[in-house]
Amino acid sequence: MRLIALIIGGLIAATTVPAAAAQEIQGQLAITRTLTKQRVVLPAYTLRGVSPHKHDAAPSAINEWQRVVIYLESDKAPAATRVLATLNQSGQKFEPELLVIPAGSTVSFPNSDPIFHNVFSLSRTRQFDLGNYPSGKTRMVMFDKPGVVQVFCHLHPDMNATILVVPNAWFTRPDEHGAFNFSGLPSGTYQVVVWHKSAGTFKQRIQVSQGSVAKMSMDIPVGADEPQP
Amino acid sequence: MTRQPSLAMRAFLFASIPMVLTLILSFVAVRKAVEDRIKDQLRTSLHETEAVVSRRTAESAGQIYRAISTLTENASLKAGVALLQENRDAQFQSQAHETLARQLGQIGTSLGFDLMLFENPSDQVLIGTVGPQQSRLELRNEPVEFVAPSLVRAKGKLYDVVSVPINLGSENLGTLIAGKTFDIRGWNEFGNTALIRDGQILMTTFPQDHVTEAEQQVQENCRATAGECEVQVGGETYLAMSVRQMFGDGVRLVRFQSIDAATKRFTQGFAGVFPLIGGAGVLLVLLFSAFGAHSIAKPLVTLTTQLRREGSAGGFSAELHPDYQTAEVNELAMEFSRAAGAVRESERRLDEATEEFIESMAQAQDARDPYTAGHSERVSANSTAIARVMGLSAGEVEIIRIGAKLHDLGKIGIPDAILRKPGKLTREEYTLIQRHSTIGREILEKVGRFKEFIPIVELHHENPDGSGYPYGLKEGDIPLAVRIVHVADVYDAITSDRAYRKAMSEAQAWELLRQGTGPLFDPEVVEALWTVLRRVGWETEVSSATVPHENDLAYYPLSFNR
Repeated sequence: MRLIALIIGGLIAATTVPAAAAQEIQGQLAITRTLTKQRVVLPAYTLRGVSPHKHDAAPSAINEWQRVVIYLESDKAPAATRVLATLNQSGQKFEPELLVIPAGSTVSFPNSDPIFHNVFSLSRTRQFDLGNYPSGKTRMVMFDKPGVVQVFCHLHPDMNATILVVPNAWFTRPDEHGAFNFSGLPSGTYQVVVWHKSAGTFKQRIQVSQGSVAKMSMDIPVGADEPQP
Repeated sequence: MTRQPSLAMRAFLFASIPMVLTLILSFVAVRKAVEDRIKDQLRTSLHETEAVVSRRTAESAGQIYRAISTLTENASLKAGVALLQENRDAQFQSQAHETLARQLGQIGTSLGFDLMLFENPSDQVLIGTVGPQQSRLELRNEPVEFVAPSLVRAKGKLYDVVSVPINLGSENLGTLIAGKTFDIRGWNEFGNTALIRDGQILMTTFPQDHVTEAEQQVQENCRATAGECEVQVGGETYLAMSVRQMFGDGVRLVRFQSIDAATKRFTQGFAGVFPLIGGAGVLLVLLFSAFGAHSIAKPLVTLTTQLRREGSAGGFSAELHPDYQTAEVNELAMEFSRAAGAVRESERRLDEATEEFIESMAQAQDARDPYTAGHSERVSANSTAIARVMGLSAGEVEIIRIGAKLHDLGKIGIPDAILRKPGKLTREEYTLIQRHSTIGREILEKVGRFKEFIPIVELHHENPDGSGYPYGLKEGDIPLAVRIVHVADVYDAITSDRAYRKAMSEAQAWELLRQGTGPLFDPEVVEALWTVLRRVGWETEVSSATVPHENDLAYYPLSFNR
């Protein structure tokens, strides 16, 4: 079983410390099912009528936690500082493969390879096609809507990166055990959104009381076998 | 005795039957061997063909796979697929599906595929298009059944498919499945084809009424993994071979090549040759056997034919020409000749002895009475002469000659006193004398050889009018030989002296005969006697009053005075 089962119970421990911005969400994620299907490689000679998906994939080289982003949705969220991020193209790969930026940020796509690239996206969040451009040049795109943007290169079908445009400054990524932490939150109700590149988004509502640390745990996919919207 | 086959037939049968049987058997064996060999060759060749077909099929699947792999290495396609993961919102999904369906349709059209499917990483078919290029339809919520990993049923039709993964980096986004309508008829021009899963026929080109039989045969004769087996369907022998692992999961495409049909095509050319050669061989054997049998049997047949002919002619000639072309048969003929000679010699001696015996018996009888001395001899001579004049056969003449010599043999039983009595005989003496013919018969009856003379001895005193003795037979019942001897006997008796009278002159005797001709003497015999007597130069004068002695009547119941 390649099931990655990292279960760490989330705890919500109510503290009575009355501090103005001391509220916190401590969370723990557990992945209960394979979320990412491994690359399937079939040498042609094994092909005589054997369906590829019947083959066992190679041992995992994918770190699922690197494909996970957690962010909060709330009315009270402060607008994030717009940034200029860079999605470099190097060695026929995008670098980094997952980029998280707040809405309104701009991403530069420099071509660091000695060959042409053609960066584009079909994602509804932001459709663009930067056209062919050579080594040393860059093109810029501004992302003002939150959402997922999948980035490809027309010339190199295996190049892929994802830009997650989050609505505010409250976003983070889990550590290698699936644990995450938001601190300095005002008290109130939050929607915790867990996004996995292959599995999609999973949401959970949480109440954070004055001066307390709200602890939560979440299994993804939530409850069922299939990823829930 | 049952009829035995002739030597020629025997030789013919013994020569021909084993040869014919050998010939027929060897021809049958040769024919069988040739057919088996052809069958073997065909089997080998079919096997090779099947191997080639299998290899080509695999190769073409590989090529198709590579072609589709190339197409899936397409950033737009991958971006389209990736859209499906981006948002689970129904409207978004349906838009994404539509985009992807369009892309699949384009790929299918460009490669000529009838079926294009996209499966997500969870093996769910999300998108599908089906149908030929012009009338391509999207599959919407319609079940797609994987009969085997490479065989898909959609909208009631089977598709032969190739599955190619769509990978993005180290991640698998799903699987592209491209297929062509599976046409089972396209697999075999001459034989039959069947799609079989775990021994069950899913689809076949066999006629409907043979399907069950084919299925049963396959289950009995073809183990699931066996590459090759032979089955009998509808009276035809098929070489059944799987096109290797075409579909996977126990679903095999089995091609049935009719060995019988192939063999027939092959043997048609020389089908007539075997019966022709066989028939000609048998005919030759029969001819040679017949000729051989004939030539073996010929000398013996010639010999036996000759012997049969001579046997039926009454005796064997001394010389059988030893020219029968076969040493053994020649020897046999010579031996036979020698034996026949010996038999003839002994017969001759016996005849001589008989002759001498008869002679001496007659003489002994005649000698008892000086008056009858030479009587038998003379009667025999005259009878023989008469018989010859009347044109009797040599055999009959011989019987008459000897019979005449013996005719008075019975007198042995009559006392001399009566025979030689000079005086008048009493009635009892008459009767006694008349018994001599019966006595003669009784004597001769004891000797088989003398049987043929009995009528002459017994009946030589019968008259044509029935007045004779011992039986009083009439004309027609008295054999000619007897009538001849009768006349000769009377003639000699009355021309000889007797104890009781003198001999009549020949003229007198003749007159007496003339008077008795008809009732007492056979006219033809009398006429013949006349010829005989004239031949010896005798002239007659007719005298009157020829009266025989009374005693003659004891022997001859003549009525000279009628």
